[in-house]
Amino acid sequence: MNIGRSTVWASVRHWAIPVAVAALLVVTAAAGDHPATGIGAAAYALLAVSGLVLAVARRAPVLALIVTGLCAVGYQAAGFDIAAVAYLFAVYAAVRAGRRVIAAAASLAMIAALPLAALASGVQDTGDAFTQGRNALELAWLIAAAAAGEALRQAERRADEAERSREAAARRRADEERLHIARELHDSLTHQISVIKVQAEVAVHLSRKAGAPVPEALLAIQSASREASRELRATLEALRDDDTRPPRGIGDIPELVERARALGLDATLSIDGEPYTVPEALGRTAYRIVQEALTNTARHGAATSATVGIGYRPDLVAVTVDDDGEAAPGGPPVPGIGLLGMRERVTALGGSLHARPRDDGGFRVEADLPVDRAA
Amino acid sequence: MIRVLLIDDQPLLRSGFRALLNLEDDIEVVAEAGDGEQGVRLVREHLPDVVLVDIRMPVVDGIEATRRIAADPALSAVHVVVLTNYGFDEHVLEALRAGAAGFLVKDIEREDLLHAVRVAARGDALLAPSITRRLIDRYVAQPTLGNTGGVEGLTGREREAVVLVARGLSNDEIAERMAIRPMTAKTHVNRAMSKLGARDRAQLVVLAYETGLLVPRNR
Repeated sequence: MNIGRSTVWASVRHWAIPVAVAALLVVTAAAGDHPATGIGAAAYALLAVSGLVLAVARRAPVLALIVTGLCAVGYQAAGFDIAAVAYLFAVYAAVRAGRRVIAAAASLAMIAALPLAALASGVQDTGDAFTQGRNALELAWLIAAAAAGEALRQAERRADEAERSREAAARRRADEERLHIARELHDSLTHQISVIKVQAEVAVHLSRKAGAPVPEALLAIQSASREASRELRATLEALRDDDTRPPRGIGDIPELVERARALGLDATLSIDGEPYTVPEALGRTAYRIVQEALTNTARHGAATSATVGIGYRPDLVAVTVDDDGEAAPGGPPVPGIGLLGMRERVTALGGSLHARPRDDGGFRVEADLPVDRAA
Repeated sequence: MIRVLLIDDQPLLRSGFRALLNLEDDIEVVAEAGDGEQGVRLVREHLPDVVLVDIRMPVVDGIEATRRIAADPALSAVHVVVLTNYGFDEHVLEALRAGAAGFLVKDIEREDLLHAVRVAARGDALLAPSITRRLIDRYVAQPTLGNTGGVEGLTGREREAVVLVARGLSNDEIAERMAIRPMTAKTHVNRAMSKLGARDRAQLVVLAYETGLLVPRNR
């Protein structure tokens, strides 16, 4: 099976370096005629562990750094004068994961601790102890390992960024495509509804002209088609709103609030969460929702104050507009025609829009606009 | 009798409009066409007072049809009203630039349709002035730089008349406002139109905005 084979291959690759390093260290020790008895046995175990722990270096770089470092100090203290190769790999992994400060601090500690370990192992002369410590962890190798890790980290970050911007472009295209489809759909619907409406109009007038009572069914068709075309037109206007130059976005909302204040409405803006960059289609929609809601507030609400809220959540932008107008709680939601159209836009972006009187009086418009911020 | 010609690619819409218009004693639909090409030909043949033309059509669209009618000196008395499915957009503005007298949203109420046809036929007032101004406000954001388009040739009175036309005033109302005789008001408007090369009042207003004579209100 393909999957089985690739899993095996992945685990081979995963364990290759840890096992090789462990084997290298153990073989080096054996070649150096180090005894494998008593304290020597413990030292062999430390050598093996310091190599094998590299298996988690990718997931837990700090842990690998600490374990390899302690092992190296341990076998040095046991009298095994063997280079801290596993530690170098751990430094590389830590820097690659972006843990530069910790890697540097750990390395300083190692440079200080290795001579002490040599002294503990029975080296009498301090100068010899330092030389042995330096041999175990060559500064040049240390820097090389860190540099390699850093180089790879930057390469990976660049690749990530490229990937992210590719994804963002794809998402933008998808958003635009959805809006385009919605436009087309409403476009052709509008054509047909116009025909129904005009024909209903004709039928009503012909029957009036003939002096006969106009059939209820005809009047129903007439009023339904009027309503349908009113809604469709509002929707289309919202969907076709992209042509405004320059495009308005979430960053223009403070200006909207300011303008409402200039018109005598006590409007405030509260921003919740850490603002981040949103897709253009989303920003435009957020702007239009606030614009429509404030316009409606000014138009019918008998409101004196309004609060605009923008909440930057991890997965969505929540836009709310509350006013203190006289909308009756429990009453039917009567969004203005602009909001009616806006709903289509919000839906095309995969979000939701609610506009209704609040229980404590006033009107609330609430839109959740999902943001796909993968990565 | 106001003679109307319909150009629209939807037969059912045409027949609906025709029925609504023919119910009136002073309006008569003289012909109808399904595309701009045929439409312009029929306009030359029938010389109607008002042409209702759909903006979006196959073969020759409403904007091009308007342009062809406007370009023909023999059709100078024909007033073109464009039909749109939407409130207003850049296509409508394009049609007004081309010389249309105004525009109508297709699903308008019967009374509004009849009123529009009568106003367009008289040619002495702007159609749907508030909507027309909103349209222009929205799409003519800035006067085209360096395009004075003959504005400097207007006299002070003519400029004044243009501003009143843009507000939707008829010739009689302009006369009253400027305390002059209606004939004089008409002369001012006509002179301004010919100096700016405008064929209809709507085009006059568009040109006035584009040349900076009128400044769009801040949105």
